[in-house]
Parts: sequence; C-alpha cells; structure tokens
Amino acid sequence: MRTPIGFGLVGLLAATPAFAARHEVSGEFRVTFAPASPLTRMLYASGLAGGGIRAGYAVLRNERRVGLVVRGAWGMSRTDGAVDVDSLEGVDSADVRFTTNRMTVGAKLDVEVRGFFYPYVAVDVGAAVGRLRLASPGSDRDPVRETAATGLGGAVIGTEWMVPDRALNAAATGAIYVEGGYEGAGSLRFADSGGATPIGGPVFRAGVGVRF
Amino acid sequence: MRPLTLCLAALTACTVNGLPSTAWDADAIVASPASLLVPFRDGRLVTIEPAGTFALVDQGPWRVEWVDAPPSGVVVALRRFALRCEDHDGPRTPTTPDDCDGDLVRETSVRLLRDGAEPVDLDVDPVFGRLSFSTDGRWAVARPDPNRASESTEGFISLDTLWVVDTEGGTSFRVPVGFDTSSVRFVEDGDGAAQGLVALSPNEVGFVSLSGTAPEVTTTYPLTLDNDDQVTPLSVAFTADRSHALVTVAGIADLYTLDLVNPSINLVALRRAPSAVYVDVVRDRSLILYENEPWLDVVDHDLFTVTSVRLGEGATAITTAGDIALLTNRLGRDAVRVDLETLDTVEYSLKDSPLDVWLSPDAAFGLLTVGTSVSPRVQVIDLREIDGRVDDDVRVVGTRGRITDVAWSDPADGLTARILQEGVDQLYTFDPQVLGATEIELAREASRLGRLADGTAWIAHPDALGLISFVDADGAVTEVSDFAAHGMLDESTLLTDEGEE
Repeated sequence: MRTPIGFGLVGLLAATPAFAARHEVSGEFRVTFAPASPLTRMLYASGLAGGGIRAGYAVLRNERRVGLVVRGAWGMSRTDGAVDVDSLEGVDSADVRFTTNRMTVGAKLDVEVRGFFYPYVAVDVGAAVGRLRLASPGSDRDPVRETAATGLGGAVIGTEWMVPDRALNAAATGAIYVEGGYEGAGSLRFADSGGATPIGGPVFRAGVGVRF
Repeated sequence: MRPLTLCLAALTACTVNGLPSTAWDADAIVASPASLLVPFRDGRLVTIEPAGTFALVDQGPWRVEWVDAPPSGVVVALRRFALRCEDHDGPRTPTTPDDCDGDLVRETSVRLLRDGAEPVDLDVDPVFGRLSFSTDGRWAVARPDPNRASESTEGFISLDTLWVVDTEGGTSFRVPVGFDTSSVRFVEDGDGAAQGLVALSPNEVGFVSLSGTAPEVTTTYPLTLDNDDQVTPLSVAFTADRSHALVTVAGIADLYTLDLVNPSINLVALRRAPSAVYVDVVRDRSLILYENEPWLDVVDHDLFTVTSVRLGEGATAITTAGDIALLTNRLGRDAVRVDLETLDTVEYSLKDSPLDVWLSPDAAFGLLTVGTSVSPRVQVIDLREIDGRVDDDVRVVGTRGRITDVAWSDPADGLTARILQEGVDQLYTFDPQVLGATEIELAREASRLGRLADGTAWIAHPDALGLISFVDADGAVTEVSDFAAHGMLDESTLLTDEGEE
C-alpha cells in the first residue's frame, strides 16, 4: 500500500501490543437481490436466497482493538419452480431448478467495542457458477442441464456480536453477525436456453458461528 | 426455495411479475412437405426435421403470431409482428420490456414460404385475422377481426374488406365486399383450384371472382329484404357454369338459389332445415341430410330438381372419400354407404353411435369410433364393392383407450391405419382387412398425429419442454425433444405487443 491511507492502515494494525485475535467459522443465510430476468420471472423469485459457510483467519488485532481477518466463503442458492406452459392438452408445466454456487475470498476490517460489539467493513472477490435444470414431469428422459459461470466482487458493512471472553472463560466463544452491501457480478448466459441471468445486486447476509 | 419462503426469510416485499409463456401447442404445428414448423406463443419459431434435429429460426426483430398453411403444406404463411421503439434514442428494436420510454410501434407482416423459392414478405394491417387457403394453396383470404381493430395502423379501418393473397404471384389485395363478413369460403373445381370465393354474412352473400388480374366482387345479394330477419347462411355451392349459387340457411327449410346472371332469388323447398350439406363438385349436385327425416335429398344444380333417397333414419354427417359418401348420425345406429355416382345405398347396422368417422383415402374401409372412454372400441366397415356386392357386416374391435387420431397410409403401399389412443403410449398400425395391429412403443402418450408428404408419421406428445416422435414406414421411431427450452430465457421473448411481460 503506497497511499497515505494505506500507510495509515498498516500503521494502525501494526501498532503494538496486539490483542488476542479470533479466528472464525460461521454458517450463514444469504440473499442477493438480483435484477429481474426471464428466469427469475419464471420462478417468481425476487431474490436469490440460500445458505453458506464462512471461515476467517485472524491476522491480528492491535492495541486500538482494530482487527484484520482474511476470510473465504462458499454459498449456494437454489430456487425451484414450475413454469406453466398451457400447451397441448390443458395446462402443462416444466420443473425448473436454478442453482448458484458462489466462492469468494476477501478481507474484513473490524473494531472491538466494549468487548462484544464489532462493526466492520469487508471486501470479497470470487466466482459464481450457475446451473439450470429443466425437467418435464411425467417424462423419464434426462432433464436439460446447463452450466454457466461468471466473476463477482463486492463490499459490505456489518456488525458482529460476540459473547465476551469473560462470560465464558473458554478458548472459544460464539458470535452472530449481519452484513449488507453490494455484490457485483456478471450475468449467467446459458448456451441453449439463452438470455442473460444477472446474479449480482444488493446483498444481505446473516450468520452464527464460533470464534476461537 | 419457494418465493413465499424467500419473501418471509428475507423480510422483503415480493412482486409477482407476469409469467412468460413458453407454450407450444400441438394444434399450432404446421407440416410443410418435409418438416414441421412449431410456433410458440412468445413468438419463437422452431423447425423440426424427421431426421431428429431442430433449429430455432432466426427472425431478427420479428416474432411469429401464428402459422397458416393449406393441408398440403405447399405454402406456409408466417404471420409476424415486430415492435419498434420511438423514443429519445431514435427508432430501434427494444431489447427488454422496460426498454422503451416512448411510443412502441407494432409492425405486422406475412411471410410466405414456398419450397425452393425466396420468401415473400407482405405488409398486412393487423386487423386481418388468420388466413384460409384454397385446397391447392394458390389463394388465401383473411377477414377483418373487429376485436383487433384497435391494433390497426389506420384511424378508420373498413371491416367490410377482405385481404386476399395470391401466394404464387406474391401479391395481396384488399377487396371491399360491402358488408361485414362472418365467413369466407373458396369455390373450387374438382382439382381444388379456386375459381372464386364467397363471402357470407348474416343476411348477405357476395361472390369474389379470382379469375381476373385482381380479385373483384362480381355479385352481392341480400338474403332477406327485412334487416330485422336474421338469416345465417350455412353453405354455398355453385353450379358448374357458375350461373347460380345455392345457399342453405340455418333453421330454414329452403334452399336459396341465387341467379348470378340475371339477379334474382328462388327458393327450393326442402323437407326441413338441413343438418348437413355436401356439394358434389364432380357431379354438379348437392346432397342434403336431415336429422329427423330419413331421407337423402339430392339437388341437381342444373334444373334444381330434387331426387330423394330413402334412408333408415335421419343423418347428421357426411364423410366422403373418392366416389363414396358415408352418412352417419351421432345419435343413431345406422351408417349408410352412398355411391355418389349411382346413389345406390348400403346400410350398416352399428353397435354404437359413431363419434368420429375416418374413411381410407381409397374408400375401401371406414373406422367409426365410439364416443365413450369406458369401454373404448372401434367399428370397422368394409366399403369395397367386390363382385357387385358390398359386405354390410360391422366388425367391432376393442381398444385400450379412446381413439383420438387416425392417419391412413398410402393405399399403394398397402392400406393400414396409424392409430393413437387416449392415454396410451403406443402407436398402432392397424390392418383393417385382418383386424390386427402391430404396436410401436412411444416415449409417452400422444395428443396429435400427422403425416408428412413422404408418409412419415409425426406424433406430438404432451410435454412441456417439447417432444415429437417421427415414425417412418418401417416403424423406426426418432424422437426430438426439449426444443421448447431452446431460447426460452431470451429477454426479447418476453415482449408482448404491449411492451410488457
């Protein structure tokens, strides 16, 4: 980091003595409010919701109680639906399943307040893989399966509440967090089904996990 | 995750968007001589080949509304529309439902496709509806649809105009007939070539000649002098010399004979209001049936004399093949074979009232189905005259499901009937001479059966993502599936003529 801000940040983190840093593992709920697309219209889905896991390696925490965590996450969302196609004899439908897998790595910068409250900012980059599965009910032939991938990156602000060490007097403690921000991503383009399915947008995540 | 769950979990408001339709409709499939055209409700068009391939037709900004074709499929008319956005970015094709701040202009055209010829595009006012073709495919006509008048590009659109298309010349004509038509029928010779067309309306009938350089109305007739009288024409026939038109009218026991040379109307008294009329173009006479009168009246088109043939009971339907007509009554138990040349009759005593009647193209056999799915069966009658005698036995064959569709083979290749049954995933090849059938396994039950020019049968299955089976003469099955998924997520397919999904 060659900018004054960068120097300031390094200086802030490198100040001694360091406080105990906490690594983290969490499970989380996540939803991304992607723009409407033909696929989400078909599925009546106004957001891509799912779950995931997150792990973080605490690099340090300085005397100003500012901490840096390097983190990685995997999240999956799945939306099932049936597309009505009033074709042939009466209303028919096709089963549609849209799955996204997102893998990100990033960094989180937080500050400890009164030993249990940790507001933070974080940035993440990664990739997403989307899978589309179309099946015709009543048919025993293989469903139509398509896969597409795109890159993503985003920034969030959040806050974490951790059970204070002194309350547990143990090596590990628990925490919950909520965060929100924006996750930009390209659109998934399925070769045969066509169209562009955007998967980026405002994002909200909430999780619970252990800190050790 | 279901949308409602998602909404609750995310504590956010959900909006329900309109559902794009990926519908494909077996009834909308059009068979050109060597392939199938499948239009989708969202405007896509897919061509399917018997070899097992399909392709999404690149139409640029155009989308298909419907496809019309004569039974032979020699010419296909694609009714298409395109949306043009006129806003601050200039005239352009909108790419998404929200991609137009200005006026959304709808353009409509008909593309004529003929094997081996360049496509021909014709501008058409959107008010005109579906095209009806003459049997030979040379001429087509569309009536204005009052419900589509608001889509017209003109401030005032005359609803008493027909749109007539010469498919061979690649030209179209607007023909004012002077009254609002309720139906239009071609007047054809024995080869199916159109000589003219008749426009019918309550109380009025008009004749449009197609023999000149351009279609023109040569005669119009009022069917009643009192406009309060509602007279609904049912059928129209012409004498061989085109000097008279014969019109039957719903609920009236008269045959209207219109003198087209010296304008006048004569009424030929009938027994009752007819239940069915068949115009025998070859012999220049009309066959008239009555539901509750056991008579077949034959009206000669020359002197309008009536010859009556006694039947066992009244009849409601006439099915013809070659020189044979089969008269049936949907509530009766008789089927009557009529030799159209001699008017000799042979009566068959059916076991059940017939629902559908399929005659082989060589008029050798008839299949009459029973209108029940409880104990489905088919009645087989032999129409052949062998050594001067016609076998009047009726043979009954049980079936697994109600017969929904029949396609006869070319008699030159050995007469068989390909038969579909309701809810049955098999195609049967039925030999009416031995009353036996061979089975061909299908992927699933079928809903429609058709035949390409080379005899290959095509079968549409009720499958949301698309499934059509082709069965060749040897019984080999080729399936084409999932064509409805192709391009289904393209944003442009969501645009309707209102510009919203």
